[in-house]
Amino acid sequence: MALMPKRVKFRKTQRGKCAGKAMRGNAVSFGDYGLQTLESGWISARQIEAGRVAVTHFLGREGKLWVRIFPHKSVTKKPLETRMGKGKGEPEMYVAVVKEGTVLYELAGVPEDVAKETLARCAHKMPLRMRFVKRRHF
Amino acid sequence: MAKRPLIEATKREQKGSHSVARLRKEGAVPAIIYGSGAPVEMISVSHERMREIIEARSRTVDLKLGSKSQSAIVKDVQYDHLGSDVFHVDFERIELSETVRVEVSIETHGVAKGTRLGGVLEVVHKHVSVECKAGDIPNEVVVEIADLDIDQFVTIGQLQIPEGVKVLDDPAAICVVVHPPRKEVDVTAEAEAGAELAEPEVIGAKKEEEESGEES
Repeated sequence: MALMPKRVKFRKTQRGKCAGKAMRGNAVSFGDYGLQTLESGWISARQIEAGRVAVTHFLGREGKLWVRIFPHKSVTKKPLETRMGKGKGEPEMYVAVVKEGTVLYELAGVPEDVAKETLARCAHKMPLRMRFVKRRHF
Repeated sequence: MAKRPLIEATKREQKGSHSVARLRKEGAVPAIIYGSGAPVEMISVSHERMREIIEARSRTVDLKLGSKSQSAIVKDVQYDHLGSDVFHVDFERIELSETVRVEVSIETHGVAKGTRLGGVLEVVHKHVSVECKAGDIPNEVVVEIADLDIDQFVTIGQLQIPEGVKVLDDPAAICVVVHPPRKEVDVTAEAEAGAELAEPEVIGAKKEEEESGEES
């Protein structure tokens, strides 16, 4: 099941901006290694899921993965060959709004080289530039 | 006992975001030192040296400010949004014989026997709270996990803590555990199931329908 909110206050949202930098959620908190975004933007529920599947597929039963983002925002689209007007389109997908520095996935229980390879595969599924990060000690 | 690194600091007069931004451009980190009843002083230290200290996980340092050297504890480190650059450091003046409470990171050493059999290693507690003399703060607590089989764990009470260091956390709390192998997940089936899009429930939508029903 693709990630999406269970309950929403409004079905459709305005597009908004992704201005600024991640001032929280920008450090590895649960695992030992993480995948951090170097750009701000939207990551769709499908892309989040594709990244998770890429990790699970590569690691099998090894390690533990945390997905730190959730697609809260609905994105609408008008049907093809429709004239403009007549109101806003219907929700097409859900996206997570991420800011530069956000840690998207975290991994633990695997050696560093395996974590690097795994998260590199995951990064290929992402629409933004990513980098591998390690947990800070203080 | 961890060896104390030396760090040279220079006093800074100017404060404010513009002047500290200039400092950072020059390869320095703005810092502050306080404690021991002495006045608060604004200082700057070398970014490179500070990174070395952080990587070595040294809690106490010998801070050389002008001609005098004093021991200090790294109280707080602030990073930029990417976590790669040190933005600001808080030092606290401290006597090495003074008792302090700090958090020390737990490091695993070796490959657990259980993980070779498909188990999943989880480090539940990444830090342990300790109380000791400022001069005796260990850089890290190492846990040997080579003999750890599936469903076996190490509690905080079993950690090998250096002499003179008292652990404040619950000794029965599990800090490292090897979980049994998980069931194989059929990722393709999961991905296919994710293809169908349902609508989330709209809060308050039912009320509107009910109201319109009542009106008619």
